[in-house]
Amino acid sequence: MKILVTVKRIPDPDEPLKFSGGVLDTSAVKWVPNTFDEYAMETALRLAEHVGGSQRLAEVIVMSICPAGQRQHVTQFLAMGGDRAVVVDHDDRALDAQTVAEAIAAVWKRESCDLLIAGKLAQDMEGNEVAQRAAALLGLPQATFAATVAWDREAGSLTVGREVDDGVESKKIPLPAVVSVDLRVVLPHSVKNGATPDDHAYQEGPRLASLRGITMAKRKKVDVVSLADLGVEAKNTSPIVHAEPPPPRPPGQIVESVDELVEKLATEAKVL
Amino acid sequence: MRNERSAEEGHPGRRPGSDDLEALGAIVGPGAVSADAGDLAAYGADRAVGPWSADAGAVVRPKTLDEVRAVVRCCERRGLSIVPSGGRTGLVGGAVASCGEVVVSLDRMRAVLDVDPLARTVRCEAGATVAAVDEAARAHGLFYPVDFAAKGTAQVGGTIATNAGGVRVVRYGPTRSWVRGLVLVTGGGRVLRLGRGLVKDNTGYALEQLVVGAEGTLGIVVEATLGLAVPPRAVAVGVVGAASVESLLALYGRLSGARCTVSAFECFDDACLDAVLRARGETRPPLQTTAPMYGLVEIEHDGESDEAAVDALTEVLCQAQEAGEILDATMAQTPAQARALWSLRESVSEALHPRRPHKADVTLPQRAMGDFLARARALVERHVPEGELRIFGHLGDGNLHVNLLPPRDGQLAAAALAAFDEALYGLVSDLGGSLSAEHGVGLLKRPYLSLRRTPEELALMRAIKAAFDPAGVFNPGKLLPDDGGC
Repeated sequence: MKILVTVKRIPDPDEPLKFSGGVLDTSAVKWVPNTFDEYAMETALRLAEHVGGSQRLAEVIVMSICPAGQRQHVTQFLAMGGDRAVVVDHDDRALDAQTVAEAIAAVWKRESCDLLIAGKLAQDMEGNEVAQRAAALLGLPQATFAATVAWDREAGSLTVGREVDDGVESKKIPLPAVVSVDLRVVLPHSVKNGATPDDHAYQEGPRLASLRGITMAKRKKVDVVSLADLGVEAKNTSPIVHAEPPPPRPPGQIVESVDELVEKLATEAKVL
Repeated sequence: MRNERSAEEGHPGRRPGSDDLEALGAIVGPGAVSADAGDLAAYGADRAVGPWSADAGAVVRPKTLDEVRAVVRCCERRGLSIVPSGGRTGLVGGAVASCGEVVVSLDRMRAVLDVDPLARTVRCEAGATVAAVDEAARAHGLFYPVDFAAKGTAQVGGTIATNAGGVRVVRYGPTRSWVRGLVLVTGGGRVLRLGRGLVKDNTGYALEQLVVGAEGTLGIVVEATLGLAVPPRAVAVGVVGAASVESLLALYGRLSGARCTVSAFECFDDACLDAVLRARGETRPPLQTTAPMYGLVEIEHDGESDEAAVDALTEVLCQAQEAGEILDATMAQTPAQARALWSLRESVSEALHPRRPHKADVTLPQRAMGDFLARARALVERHVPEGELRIFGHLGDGNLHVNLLPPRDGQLAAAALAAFDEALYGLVSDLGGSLSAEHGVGLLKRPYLSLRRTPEELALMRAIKAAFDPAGVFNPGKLLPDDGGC
């Protein structure tokens, strides 16, 4: 089985953003992997590895669209345990979601994949549409916002638990398929592959790279392709016309007494 | 109501009465004086565990330098003792009020006054938290390098009084290295403006340095000017598993040999990690294999990106693994992962706290570390065999926090603990170490100070105390071995 994991680099959400001339100043940005993609990677690795055994049940291919010289995040996913990578050499910020989905579909076909695992959204734009568009383009069944994934290898299907407003929806989909994951998929017992003992408790959250993983990552195969190689036209039907930071919030006040607090709540905040 | 006490006699002051509270209230305003039982209990204690109970006489929260002066004069005149009080995160009882003293809290003097990016200094009121100072510095592209888990609560004045250390002493030194100046209200309400913000000032005795680590016995720090540093371009953080502290120290030597700029080199044992994970409801360690001892390594790198720093650290760790110094390692690849690894180390003290550990904070020459741990374990066996030993600390500085936990459903006998302490501090002294690395002396280690300080030194310390504080009003019963108490 081949699992394709799509990953994206985003500006570090814990750092303040800088803007100049109505656009985000990316020169000052520290790029980090999208957290939901780390969850996707962890899900793929848990499906692929047989804890307690030696056989690997799937190949995990990391895919990202980024300038080829700025693929540190791809190395990081390989250090976590991905087997190899495909990098589409293009500025992903200049592409719309449909083009990204077309590139993913093209790589899927080139690699003859069986399962696409994606984060439910990227934290920078919060689009939440690429996995769904890719499923539509490929004509595949999809299960979005996965909180649990169980793989039935004999039946060739996945049972995916999806957290919805009124409970957990359990969905069985035949492979090949598209799954997008939500954060609870990285709880210790969320992913089962039928080989690793069902009671095996994984660490909470995506795994950290081991020393060995980091040294191996540099030697893993990375195919660099262009959108033209994939037969995909670069489009951007939803360009960002202007970006600016939100107005600063007024600072908080420290009051000296309860009476003053009550007075301010009544006269300034007008909530009493 | 003239008070006849002196520093030599060191008697605790009397407990304030209603007329005293009224006089203090006239200075700071009635809302800033409290004799409320909840306030007295809260402000009378710090994070230390010891054979005393919080018993403050009053809590006073002045807002200005002039109010602090007036409070000091009032207390001297009325024969009241003062416990200067910051964030009360100290671990030796230095901020404890157990004899009816007046707690003078700097809680209302929290302003960060000025950052000077050229001089690389920050001026702040003593009640500003260390985190607030750091945040103000970062807004100017600088940072305050004294860093420890309690920095969100600990106040600058308290860190000066205790010469706080923390996790980056190995690179940047303790608080002492960063105090460029301070304003002290000392005996008689005199105001001393010491140091005044200059790096270079060779004009005789560095009096501000006497105040650093004096544990509030010389006066109340009301304002400080602190040095700031330029943040490193890139850092890498890894956690390694090792068989022993000796193995970790071999790695430390290897990092120096590889010309790595180590900005932190911490250790914690397997049981500490277990406590942290348990407190979070997590079960799995961050490494694929478990180890008896873990080290957290942080290096600084002058390269353009964190990736270069990670590469540099990876190379040394790979060599260390081949040499058998470490069993396993994991590396942070993102700032978020670095914070997650750091939190494993920084959460140790908090995770152990609910079990009320008996603490020691010792430094040793690194080469004596292995010997010390073996003999310390033997001392536990001999004196408190039911106690559970937990070791963590700042290994790069030779600073270990030795924590002894009582059994889950019991207590450790005070007499046994006293015998253990005496033997432990004797051992530390024999091996050329110090009985307090960074926590200070306070109430907890006062009986053992003479193991580290000669009678001549102690006599000089008393003379200095008397010169600053002839009435003996500031923090009596702390630090100096025979200085009163109740």
